[in-house]
Amino acid sequence: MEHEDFKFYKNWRTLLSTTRHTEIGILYLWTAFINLLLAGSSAAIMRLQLGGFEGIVTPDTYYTLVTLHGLAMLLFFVPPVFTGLANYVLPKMIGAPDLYWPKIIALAYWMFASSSIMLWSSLLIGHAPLGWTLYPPNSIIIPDPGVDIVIMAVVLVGISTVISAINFLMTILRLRHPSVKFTLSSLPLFVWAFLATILLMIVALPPLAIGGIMLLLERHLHADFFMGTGDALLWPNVFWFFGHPEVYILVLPAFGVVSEVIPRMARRPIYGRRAIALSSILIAFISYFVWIHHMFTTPTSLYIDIAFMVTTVAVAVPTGIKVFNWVATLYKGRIRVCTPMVFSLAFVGVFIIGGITGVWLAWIPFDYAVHGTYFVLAHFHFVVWPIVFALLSGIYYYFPYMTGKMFHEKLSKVSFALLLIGVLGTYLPWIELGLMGMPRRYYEYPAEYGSLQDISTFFTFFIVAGILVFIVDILTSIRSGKPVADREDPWGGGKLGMPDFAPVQHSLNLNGSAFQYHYPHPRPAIVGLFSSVAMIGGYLILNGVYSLGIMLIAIFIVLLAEWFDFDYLGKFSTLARYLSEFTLEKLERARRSDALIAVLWFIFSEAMIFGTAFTAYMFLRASYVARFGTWPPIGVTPVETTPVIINSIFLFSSSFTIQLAYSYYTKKDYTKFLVLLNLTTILGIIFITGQIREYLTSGLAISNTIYGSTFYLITGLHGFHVIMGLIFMALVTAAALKGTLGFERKGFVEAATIYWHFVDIVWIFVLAIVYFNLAGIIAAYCGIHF
Amino acid sequence: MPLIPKPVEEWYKEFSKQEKIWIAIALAVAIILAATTLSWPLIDPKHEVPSSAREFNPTAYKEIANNFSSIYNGKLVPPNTDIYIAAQQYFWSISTLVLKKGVDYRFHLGSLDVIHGFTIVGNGTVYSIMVMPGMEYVFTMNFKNAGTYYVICSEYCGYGHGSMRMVIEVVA
Repeated sequence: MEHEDFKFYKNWRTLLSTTRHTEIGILYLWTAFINLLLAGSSAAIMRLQLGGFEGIVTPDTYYTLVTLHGLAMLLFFVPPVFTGLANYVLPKMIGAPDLYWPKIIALAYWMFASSSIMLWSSLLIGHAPLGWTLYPPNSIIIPDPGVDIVIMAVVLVGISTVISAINFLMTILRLRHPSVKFTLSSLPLFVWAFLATILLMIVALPPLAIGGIMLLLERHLHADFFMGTGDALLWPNVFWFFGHPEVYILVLPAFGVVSEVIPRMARRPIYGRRAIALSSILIAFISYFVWIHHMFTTPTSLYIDIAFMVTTVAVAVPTGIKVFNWVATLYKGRIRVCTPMVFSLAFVGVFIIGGITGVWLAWIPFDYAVHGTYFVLAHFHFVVWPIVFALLSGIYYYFPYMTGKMFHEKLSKVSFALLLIGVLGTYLPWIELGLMGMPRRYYEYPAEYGSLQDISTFFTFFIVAGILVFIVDILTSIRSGKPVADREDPWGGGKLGMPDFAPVQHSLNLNGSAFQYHYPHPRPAIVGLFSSVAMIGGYLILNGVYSLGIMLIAIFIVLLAEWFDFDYLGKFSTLARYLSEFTLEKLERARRSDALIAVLWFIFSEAMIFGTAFTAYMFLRASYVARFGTWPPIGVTPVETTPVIINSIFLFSSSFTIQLAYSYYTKKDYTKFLVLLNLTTILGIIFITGQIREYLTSGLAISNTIYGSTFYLITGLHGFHVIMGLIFMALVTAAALKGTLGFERKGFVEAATIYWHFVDIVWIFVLAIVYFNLAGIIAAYCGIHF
Repeated sequence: MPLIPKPVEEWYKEFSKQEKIWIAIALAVAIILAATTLSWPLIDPKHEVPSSAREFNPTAYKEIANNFSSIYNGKLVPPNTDIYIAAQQYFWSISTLVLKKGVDYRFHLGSLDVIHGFTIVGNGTVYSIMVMPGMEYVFTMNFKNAGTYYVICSEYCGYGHGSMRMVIEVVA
């Protein structure tokens, strides 16, 4: 355990190069808390403006703070802080030596850190007065660069979250201790809850990324997605397809923490363990089918509204199962009223207010009354504050593990009391305000709402005080807290038959030598921090500053290539392989065959991107036909199909060559393998050249109605993936030429093959939908005008 | 030490009698709720969703709405007259609408620039519609109580979002 107390953050070298899951977890927690303080300060300023201190900010700044408060709390505070907690506890809970890819989680962390910097720097660069939902046309017609920075930070944090989600998934699937089975009654409840969260992250965040890219394209290249021939209703659909699962991404880990804390503090096994575990997955599943409830007051068909109302109300069922089981666990328990427990109990209590108001909002007639009012705000603040309670419960519960010290019991309870009073006092008036019809996002408001706003502001001081007390408590406890007597089991859960952590499977210390599985590696941090530089490069290119933009992206690519070279081609890989013959052998063998599974999950996430793009095409087309009655749009000549057929033949034949190459690889005929692999690369390059030729000669511009916009979006996305596949194959070739591509790297080759097949399969859909108008043909066959 | 407090056979435990009763009650409630919810449009077919997606020309619509406003602003709108309202950053095309109590009025509503929210507040009523640009909304409204209602913007539209107001006077 002595390594846990190593002060990695005292030295910037160790800080940048750590890949240890506990240390990355703690970094996540600190960074997320800085985001909390900044986002909380934004909220406090907004609160002062609304109650008693009118005029302390301009409307411009006020609405920028609205945007940043929402985005920072929902994307840059809660998911990262739970990712941090999971980084720390999840491997220990399942008895894993570390996360599946220690370097990738470091990369995900530094990308998150760099996107956080980007988000807050938007305040210095400009204003983003949008609201966190970024609804167009406002997010398009406001030319401020602050808006671009915010959108890019959101896209970047989305990518970081997906990467870390796949990493966690592989950890849960592959690195469990043999005693931890993948069953409802064996896997810890936090892990079940986090597993559900991961599944949501992988599905929900890619649509947000593609939505963000569509916004940027419309802002800078005048594409027509949301304005002009496009439809502003597309964005709420894309956004809330991400946005609703996102709120379950926030709440599910909180459920997990509470399910871990309550039984140990009530000193009673959790009641209905399997039901709680299963309900997490059920919530994740249902949450994909509820997004329309954010748009009940827009022109959607009543039948669709009702279907989504039913699914939304159905979410209350698995959530109710959890609440009843927690309460049943408390029944006849010997409850220890210590800080983690009081926070968990407050979670259950306050969450019920948030949950019930949510069920009311799901009813369409009620939503017509309170849509967009303070009632909605009250509802989701009563959902997110319990999440913060659960989070604090988790942090206090695992604090002795993290630091070896105990927090101040009294001080932490003072903080709890202040927070609870503050939360109830601040947000209960909002329910009344909402029923009185006060809309949200008002910089100024009529006098009749004033007294309730003042009450709300008054109680905000309790929240601020509670957070300050919490900070003081944590900081002083880290420095001079009472050392814990039993570091292995500070809460005595083991004695109750409910140990917090499972035994670790692999001992990776090499006979006391310094070289460990968590070898320090600075490259993830460098690449992660430069990811935002690459985003800014892309932004400059969109704005026509080509030389600097291409240079910034080139720097990022060089850094990536250097990392790959170091790990897979250079001296280091020989060392790693040498080591693998000893202690890492067993682990490495498990990891090798897994590259395929990991790539399949990655492809699943990519499929969501393409799914979103295709759905956007269908949506825009239906909307256009309904308004203007023709397709293709007036003044557009469809793209010629003859060249694309020839082009497709090259791409499809490359699928056969790579499969043949792979079969030679399995027969260990590396010469033929390399020849066929390079043939595949050449076919891919021919295809890309053909596409570029088509872009140059078709005479279609991206700003030429929704036809041009969706055409370039979908084919451009596909082209980007072809280039990714080509890079993948170039890496395989490089490794083969260096002689580091032995048969033990089978997974790598397998992954490259599967990825290339995926690119080809997507092309079938692109051909059918974009070029050959399959949807139109089917619709005509069914007699629908489309 | 295994993490599992009890052996895995716990899986195969039969449901107890109480559990079965609870499941039956929960299922029955779910079925009743689902049946009533899904049959709602059949029971209440008059419920109208304020939507009509049709070709919408902002400049032409603005002219119609301004015409309407210049005739009827502050004056009683006679029954069987269509009401045209345009939303724009940051005002409604008409500032005072006078309507008669208990009469069906046909409203036309459209946004000329960004998303606005059309929310009626007053006399204990709150009702809101999200006004997407590029569409003309047509719906019927009937005010059952006389008095003063306010129309405010409930969907963030820009700096002046809070100052977008109009008055509906309903007279007996």
